[in-house]
Amino acid sequence: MSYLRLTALILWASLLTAWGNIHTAAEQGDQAFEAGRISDAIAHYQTALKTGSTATLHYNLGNAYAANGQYGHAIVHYKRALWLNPRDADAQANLRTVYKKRMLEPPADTWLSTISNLFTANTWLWLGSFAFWLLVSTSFILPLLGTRRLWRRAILILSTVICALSALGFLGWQAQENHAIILRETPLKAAPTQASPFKHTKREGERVTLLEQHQSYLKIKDHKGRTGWVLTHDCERILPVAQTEDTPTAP
Amino acid sequence: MQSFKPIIISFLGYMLLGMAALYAQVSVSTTFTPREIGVGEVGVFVISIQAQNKQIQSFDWAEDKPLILPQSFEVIQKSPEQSLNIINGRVSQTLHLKFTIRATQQGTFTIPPFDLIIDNQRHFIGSQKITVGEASEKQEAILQLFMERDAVYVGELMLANLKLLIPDHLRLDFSNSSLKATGDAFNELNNDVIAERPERVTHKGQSFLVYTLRTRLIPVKSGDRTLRFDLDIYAHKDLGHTYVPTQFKVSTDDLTVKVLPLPEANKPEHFTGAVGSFNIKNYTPRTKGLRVGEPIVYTLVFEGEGNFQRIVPPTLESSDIWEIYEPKIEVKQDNLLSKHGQAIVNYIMTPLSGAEQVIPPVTFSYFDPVKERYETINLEPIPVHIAGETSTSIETTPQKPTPQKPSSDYIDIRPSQTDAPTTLRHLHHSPFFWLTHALLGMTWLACYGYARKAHKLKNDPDYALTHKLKKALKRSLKHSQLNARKDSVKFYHSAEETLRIALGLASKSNPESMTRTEVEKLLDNLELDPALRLTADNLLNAAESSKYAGIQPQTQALNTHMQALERLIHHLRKYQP
Repeated sequence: MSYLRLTALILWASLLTAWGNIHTAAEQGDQAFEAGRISDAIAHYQTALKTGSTATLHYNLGNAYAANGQYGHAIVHYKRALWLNPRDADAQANLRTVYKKRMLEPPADTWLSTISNLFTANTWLWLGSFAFWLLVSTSFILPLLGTRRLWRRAILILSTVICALSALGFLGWQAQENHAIILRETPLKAAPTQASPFKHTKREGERVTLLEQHQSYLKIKDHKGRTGWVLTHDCERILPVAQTEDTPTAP
Repeated sequence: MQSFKPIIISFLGYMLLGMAALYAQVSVSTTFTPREIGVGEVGVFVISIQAQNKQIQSFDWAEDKPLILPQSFEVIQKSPEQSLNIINGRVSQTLHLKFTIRATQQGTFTIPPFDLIIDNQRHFIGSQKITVGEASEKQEAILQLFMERDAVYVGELMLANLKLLIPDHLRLDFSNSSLKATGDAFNELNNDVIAERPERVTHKGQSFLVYTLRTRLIPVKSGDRTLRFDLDIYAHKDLGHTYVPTQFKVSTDDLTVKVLPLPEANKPEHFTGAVGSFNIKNYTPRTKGLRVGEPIVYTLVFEGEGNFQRIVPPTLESSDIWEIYEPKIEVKQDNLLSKHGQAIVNYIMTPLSGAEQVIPPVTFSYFDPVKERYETINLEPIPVHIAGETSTSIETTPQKPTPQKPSSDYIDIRPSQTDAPTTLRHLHHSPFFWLTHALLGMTWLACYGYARKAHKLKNDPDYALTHKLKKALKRSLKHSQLNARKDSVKFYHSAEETLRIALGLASKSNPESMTRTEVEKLLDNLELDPALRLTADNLLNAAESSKYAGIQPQTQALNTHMQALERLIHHLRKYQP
């Protein structure tokens, strides 16, 4: 029993230390931002991100990038803030402002995105998982225990609705897993080579879908269905892949 | 006589066929065209071999065998050609060996005679006399220049029309030909040449194809300036039997163009050098809903005829109301056959204060070379409504803003000490998520098992009895084992109970209500091993003796009976459901 207590104590201490580190760096970022030292603020926020992500941290970093004129980076971090807290009204408002400033068309609101934005992707996943177990239990265990049919039906309907909603909500977020933002104006090349001719130019802040990677080039598809290759460092995933989690691209 | 007539006709027919076969022969001839050439000109010497009613089987002329020519000639090209004709089943072959030669000296020359061996027969080729005259002064092509007006202004866009006369025997190759204006007083807008469809004309008794070429020039220096065009021509000369590539230069006569300076009199204050005839349209995407600090695009579109390269965007100065950035100009000139074009100027302007404002007026002056006077266009200011208070900090340039705290159109940062740190990835990528679900799954299975058992106990009497007896047997056996060490009366009592429960389980009957006779009957039905049966009887007898007569066997006997009971129970488990 004493081992269990000791383990719990160590875990709690590590959590508090991480929390302390992230907030020290983030506070320094806040101070630098207020003083108008935007580059310092960006550096502090990025240091804080190495310890862990918070919606506020990404929101503040988005603000710092917007102030620095790096609208592509700003959009990435506003999107990440919204991924962690979809009902963050400040991040939504500032994202709209950046789109307007860059004269970019914001993504259209669909019924799927409206459902998704009620909760985070992970909240939907937990909700869906528990609704699933409730559904299975209602179907198999409650009849054996002799629970009243009315109750059983009520729980069955409720858990089915929650399951379906969670699946839709999660799918809405899952669809964004391969989305990326163009960080700087870049040619959309026909082939992943330096000498390749380019078809179009992608504007900073445009949202694209990643299709595949070849060496230092990424194959992308834009909202008009045009495909082509851009350099890896010219665009950034909204959700970083597991290996490079929370490692923002150097501006 | 009548009977001899078919014989005579047949005989004559055979004679004719025989003569035709004998007529099969090879003839060789030579020609030189034209009859007389000038120095530097080319002619074609052709050796023609005609084989009638036969095919040439052997020929001693190798392709690289040189033609013996006088030293005043050079071979430019040699090309063999042959054709095969079949008429009424008879084959005839023609072979032409063509030599394109160029004369380098004046005089009369002779190509010496030589022999050709064809199908093992020697054929004599006679000498060929060629007369080379003086170099021809006949002009191969003529280039003529025409201008729109005799006098033009500095900076004006002028069109030059050129007519190129090409004689019939030349086939022009425009892809390699290039036109160039000479003199430093004119700037060519580009080197492209546009040729219209050629027309046929007769000039001084000779037939020519006339191509009309157009190009554009801009005079850059005033005064009487000489203009001449040179055209490098690549063509193929038609010599009847063959085409020979040729290259030469043709030039226009010098043309004097009067280039006038732009007049100083009445020159407007805003004139920046534009020459032509222009109109301007101005617009902005929206005049309402503007906000302080939010940049807008103000566009001027210049249209008309003239030199669009000299248009300088009108200056719009920044003020307390507008921050105006350096404009960008984009020129779209139509094709080379016209002076028409378009220039689009985009200003990026940021309003610095709110309320009703105007986009500043624009004044543009240009010189019209046709009307020969300066013109000025004044565009009216555009009223706009700007929402918001006067901004204290705005971006300095729209493309590369200097770092500063965002203006009021952004919501400010929040204190960072509010949220707990988390990870920016989907939960289903985490092993913790799946571990939790594994635990949930196991718990669910346990609950399901428990619920199912409870349900069966409630609804299935057989199962409930079996379950109850199994538990009772386990408990009773444990008591027997305990009592075997302590109390013989209790041992036999619990041993009998254990045996009864085991029999009840094996026969699915209630053991409590069974008499000794029923127990015996059950043991008989089970067809036990005689030794085991004896053990059971002994155990039952001992239990009865102990119960009713109060006989207490020794501890050793108790142990023996306990072992016998265990063996018996072990055996009876085979019959349990």
